[in-house]
Amino acid sequence: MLFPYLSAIVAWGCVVVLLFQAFVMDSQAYRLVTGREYSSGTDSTVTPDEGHIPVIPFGSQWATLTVDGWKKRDIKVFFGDTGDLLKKGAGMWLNSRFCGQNGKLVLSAHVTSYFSELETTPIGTLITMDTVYGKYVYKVVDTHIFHKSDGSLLMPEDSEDQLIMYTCYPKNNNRLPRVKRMALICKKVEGKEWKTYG
Amino acid sequence: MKKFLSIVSVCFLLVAMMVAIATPVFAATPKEEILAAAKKYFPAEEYEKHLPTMENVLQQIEVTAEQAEVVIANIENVSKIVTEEKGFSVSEYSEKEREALLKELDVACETLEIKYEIKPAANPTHKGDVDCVFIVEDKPIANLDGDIVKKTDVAESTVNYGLILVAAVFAAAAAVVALRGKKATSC
Repeated sequence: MLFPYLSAIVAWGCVVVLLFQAFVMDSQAYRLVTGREYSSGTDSTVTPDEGHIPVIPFGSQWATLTVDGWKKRDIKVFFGDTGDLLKKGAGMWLNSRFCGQNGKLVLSAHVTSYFSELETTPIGTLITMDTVYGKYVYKVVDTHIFHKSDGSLLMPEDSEDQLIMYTCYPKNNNRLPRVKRMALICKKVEGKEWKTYG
Repeated sequence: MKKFLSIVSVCFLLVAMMVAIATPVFAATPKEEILAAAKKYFPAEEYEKHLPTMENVLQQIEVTAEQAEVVIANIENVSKIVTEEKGFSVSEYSEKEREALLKELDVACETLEIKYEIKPAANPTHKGDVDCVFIVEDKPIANLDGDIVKKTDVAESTVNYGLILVAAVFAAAAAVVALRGKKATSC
């Protein structure tokens, strides 16, 4: 009667794979489309030009984000918004500005995980970005719902320090495809200014 | 007259000294020069639209004055092909123009020691979507996928749920068989 033993082996095998996925793969160095590892923080050999933020390598975590009133705290913020990065936290669009650069910082994250509480965030809420080069605080001043084909809200605008956080909308969609996105539009209330080239 | 000439000479020397000291402070860095050339030669709308990307890529690499010179020449060549009306939409250009643009990109990347790879998109929104990854010293410095608005409702992996189900089924089956075996032996 080998069947019970074989069944137990298969069952335990599945458990081992699950544990491996949960703990080993998640803690592995991040792999982008090229299968290369990512670095964290500012471990770069490149020297930034004077007055500019420290060099932040693509794919690295450069901040944590905390929204007042959210249960999720210290959400990891990565430079880049590839599918792999969005599995680990909020992703920063490559064509947006870092905190303090007097432009739009565009962050996206999954509605089923890191930005699950975005939809119910009231105007006036404070958002803290603890970056590798200092703390920034933003305040929600507006919300906006848009179609996924309309990226106009996200386009660069170097006039003031803004934070745009968006995710799929609505959160409860009865398993239907989500073609809309909801964004929180936030203005900076605290944080140092840095130079940019443009 | 002598006094006047002396005063003028001293003033001239003072100004010359100030310029000599101040010049390094006002000299543009190679990165600034590249972006200044992009501002000068690219259509204004395209420059404004893509400036953060250009800066975010440049901030991750070292650029020498010699490299900047070559890249600025590339930018100038690109500006002779790209028009205000067509902008940076590659599909608007003829095959010959696209080849010429790609050639300039190749030269600029080679100069800056950047490699690039075009692969099928890891998370395609449309059929045929590609990711363009720029790499320096085996580390990606940018990933361009053409999608401004990202997909932010990817379902949780079904693999985990499948494994849980398989494990549960086999564990249950093993338990049932084991129990039946015990009953048989105890009777």
